[in-house]
Amino acid sequence: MPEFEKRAWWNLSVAVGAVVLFAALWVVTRKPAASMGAFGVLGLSGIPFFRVRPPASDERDREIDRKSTLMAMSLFWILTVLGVVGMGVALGWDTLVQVPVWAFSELIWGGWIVILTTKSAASIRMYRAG
Amino acid sequence: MPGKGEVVGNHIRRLRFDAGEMTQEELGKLAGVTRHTIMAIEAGKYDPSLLLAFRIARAFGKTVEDVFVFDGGRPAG
Repeated sequence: MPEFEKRAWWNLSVAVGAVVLFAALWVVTRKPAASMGAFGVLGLSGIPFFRVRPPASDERDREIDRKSTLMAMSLFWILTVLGVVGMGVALGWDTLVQVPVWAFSELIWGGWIVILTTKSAASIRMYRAG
Repeated sequence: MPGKGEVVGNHIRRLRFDAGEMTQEELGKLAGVTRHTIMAIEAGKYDPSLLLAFRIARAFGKTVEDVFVFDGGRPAG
């Protein structure tokens, strides 16, 4: 298996693991703010970058990386626009709402998870397809 | 990337055999890419850049057209 496919599998596992841990903590503690600690697991996605000698990449690795990044950022952008417009349309642009701080924090974590998951899954798919 | 009906084939497997069963790893080293990329090219799943096509051809001491074959499609323009 190519080194960068292994890295994609690792990142996908980290993202899925963080979501599962978050859901489990939420169920157990009933405190979404405290459960966000599970997202600290996402820091593990940085581990492959701490290698003394980074793996050599060639033109195929770079093309897959470019395409998967584009797909992840495109999906993130679409979700961002839909979220912004959707909230305005659904709630009314001048409506005042009260939301707990953890809801904003979770949105940021969620965005990171969307990017990490999409990029990893797209990379794996492209490596598998050839 | 080839268009509809266009296929880029190659003779890499045969050329490796002719070169004394050169391994994909060895060819990859000569061409400056990983074994996985050679595998993908050989299987027709990845079309190399022009530069890489020249490097692979040079590794066999052949021209690009000896290694790669373009099949299908009509001439552009």
